[in-house]
Amino acid sequence: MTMPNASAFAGKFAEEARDRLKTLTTALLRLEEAPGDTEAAAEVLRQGHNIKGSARMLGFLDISEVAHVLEELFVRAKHDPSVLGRAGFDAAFSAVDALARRVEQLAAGVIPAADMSAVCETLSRLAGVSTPSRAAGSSEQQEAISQPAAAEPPPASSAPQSLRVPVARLNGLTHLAAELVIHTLQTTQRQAELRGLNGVVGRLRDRMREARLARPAQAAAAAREIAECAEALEHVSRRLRHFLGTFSDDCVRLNLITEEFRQTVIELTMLPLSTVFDAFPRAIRDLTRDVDKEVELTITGGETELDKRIIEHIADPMIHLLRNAIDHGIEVPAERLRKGKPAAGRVTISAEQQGNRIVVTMRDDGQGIDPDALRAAAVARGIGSAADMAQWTEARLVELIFDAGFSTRASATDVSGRGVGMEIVKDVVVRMGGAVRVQSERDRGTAVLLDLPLSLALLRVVLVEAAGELFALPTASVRRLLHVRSDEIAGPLQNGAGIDLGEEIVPLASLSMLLNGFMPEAAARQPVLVAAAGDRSVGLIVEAVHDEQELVFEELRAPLREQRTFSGAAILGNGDIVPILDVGALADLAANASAPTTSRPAVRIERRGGRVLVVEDSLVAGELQKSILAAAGYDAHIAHDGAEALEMLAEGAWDLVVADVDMPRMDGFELTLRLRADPRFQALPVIIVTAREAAEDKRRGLEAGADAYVLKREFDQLHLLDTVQRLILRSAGAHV
Amino acid sequence: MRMQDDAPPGLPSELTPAPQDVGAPPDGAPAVERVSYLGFLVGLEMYGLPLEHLRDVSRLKRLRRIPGAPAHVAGLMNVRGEIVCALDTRAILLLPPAPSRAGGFLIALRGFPDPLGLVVDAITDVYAIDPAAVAPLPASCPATRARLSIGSATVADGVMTLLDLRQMVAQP
Repeated sequence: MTMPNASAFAGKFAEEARDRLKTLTTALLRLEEAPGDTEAAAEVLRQGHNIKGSARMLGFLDISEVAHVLEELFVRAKHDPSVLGRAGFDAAFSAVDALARRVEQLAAGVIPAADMSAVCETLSRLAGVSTPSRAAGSSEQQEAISQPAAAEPPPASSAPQSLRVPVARLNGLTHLAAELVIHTLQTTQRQAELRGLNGVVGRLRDRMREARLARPAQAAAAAREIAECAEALEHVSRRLRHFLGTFSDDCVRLNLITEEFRQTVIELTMLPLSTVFDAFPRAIRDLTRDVDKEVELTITGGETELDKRIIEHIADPMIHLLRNAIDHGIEVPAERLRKGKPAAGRVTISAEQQGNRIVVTMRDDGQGIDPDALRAAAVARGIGSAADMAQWTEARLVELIFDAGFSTRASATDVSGRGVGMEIVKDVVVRMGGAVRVQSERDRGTAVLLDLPLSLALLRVVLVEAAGELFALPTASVRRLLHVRSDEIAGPLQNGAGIDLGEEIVPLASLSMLLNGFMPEAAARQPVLVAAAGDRSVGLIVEAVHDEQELVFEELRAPLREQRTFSGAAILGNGDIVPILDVGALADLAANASAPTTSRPAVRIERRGGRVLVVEDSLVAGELQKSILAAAGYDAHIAHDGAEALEMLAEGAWDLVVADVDMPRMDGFELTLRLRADPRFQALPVIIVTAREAAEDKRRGLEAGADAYVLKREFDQLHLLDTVQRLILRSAGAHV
Repeated sequence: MRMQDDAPPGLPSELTPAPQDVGAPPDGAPAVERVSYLGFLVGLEMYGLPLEHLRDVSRLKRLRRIPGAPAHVAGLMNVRGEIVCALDTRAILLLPPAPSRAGGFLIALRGFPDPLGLVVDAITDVYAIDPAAVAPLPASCPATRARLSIGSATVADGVMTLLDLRQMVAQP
């Protein structure tokens, strides 16, 4: 019988057993691959033995029984490897599956034993041992069968309720907490200092008032008094200047610590992608079993870390993509050989961090997606005529597989080499703020790229105003900020306008109209935010663009869960609640509310990206940055060092400075310091781009007053453009 | 600090939730234990909800309206750092909208999977009620209200309709 307090330990046992079963599965796969792998064999035995031991100790005899016969099988295999044929491994894997199911039952609190006799019998037969008859065990099984609760496995709660956190991270947090406390104390002291100064100013004001009211006879005394006050004021002013200096230092430091603190807290809930990837070798084994295909799987980047919630959500879509690759991508060996490919198909899964995004790629070397089949399917579905479809590029055609209803099993897409449910994959990824891209080449293979955010917890948003209320728009979705004259859009808006951005026309709509059904009174110039979610874009007319903030994202709960126009809500610094807009839903609303894009009157907008000064002594790097910025619509110019930059800045109006650190005459730090000291440039955003990676340098750069610090190592177009756009948006918002 | 600000006047500072199960009739042994109810006004009528479902009472302020939300949702409110969905009690009881938006309280609820609250006009008091003294609603009572309540009880300040919170919250 089970120990009286077995249930108290069931959770702990389950947590440990999950890990052990995972290791066991990996070892089994290795052993099946290379039967001579004695290390893998030893690992199987070790894990099996450990599970048996703990289970027996806690009285989970059904588990210990299975673990025992599994162990027997592998002990026998040591002397007679022939027992481990295909059947042997099948039996071992189904035993592991049975154990895993049972462990999840335990985790959910179902303690009574389950019937594991079928698994045990198969294993025993293979191991050549008689089915052990344990009176206690079998009687308990009888008991269990009579209990319906144990027969039906509860919904598996695959997400563990506790998290393992590396000690180093916790220590980091402890240090940061201490630093935060120190700086909070310092801030409190500054408050006292400020209060003192305020008192002095108040007394001076009273003295001067009195002096002004003095009778003419006392004019001389009054003049002396006023002169004294002026001197005292001069002293106060000096102290205030000093105060401001130290206070802004405090702010910078506090910001840095807060930033680091937040980062560390976020990292606490990060999990490595291997949490998902580790299940794939086993999945490949199951998926290829019945289709007579061979697949070699290579995984890289499993150590890359992502928000736990993202990890939990992408497991199913990834398995789906894997199934698609095997079912529809990889050809049977004979066909592969005919095409001059190795008999075994290759599936490569890789993950890498790019700025604050993670890109997960699943690539196969199968037959690729057939563009002609896609064309035919598109014509059949009425997406366009055969002539239209002939015009479409292959890249555009491939995107069709994400359309709802396009990739159903009944449709021709199945024939074209990509299977079902791609729209579900896309839906999950887009919902998390990510994007999916597909690249395919006939007979060379297909690659699916999942572009995912690093974290869901914090969301960078632009605050906008509509009908007098604030709404948050995720910064990642904002493509451009424009201004239109209201007389330009008044007419076209009546019948569903579009906004012509040169390369495309996107639907234009008033945010207030979309949300509330009425248009507030228009100002002479109105800001328009062009936002995109996946392939849908919308130009949103708002009344004002406020600042950009980083908010703690919360999902909308019942009864607002079904609210499509909002993805969540957040609490602002002042305690107010701001709803977070769902750009995809707004784009759909805008598109449905108006005429089709082709026939709608378009408002043409001149490109006004902003004027950016690139300060860079290296000709190559300077030209590169200039061309990246120019391609994104910015008016970019180059200065070759800090001194030249100061001259150029003094001559015209600029929106942003991108500065290198190491330059002759005046380096980037000094340039930034000078700009911050000059009232004309105090608000001008400065980005420092450098190869210097030391934290000390970053601190120096930010302390000098730079708004962002981009490393050349991680310097990629998107990251720089993101930062430039964010800062220009911020300073534009401050002026609107 | 904010707790002081938010606490409505006349409400006892220590609200001890009653341990009894409100819905269950006293079975077996004669249960004379009384159940505590929070009384509040919606319009001129007095209603009550079991104290064990009460998490927090605060003045209704900075209620954030959500465009396109169902009619029975008044908006979202920040209750000590948590985003609580404020239900419009009037709309649920099919009463006409309040003449003015000034004043009012949010009763934040406990015991539901999502953070919910009820918007009410005023708080009256906490009453201990003997379950045996709960009377059925008069037949003249509108069907909606009858469906959303478990009965009525006479207390010092008048007759109080005892709300069935699960039904209230389950509103479509």
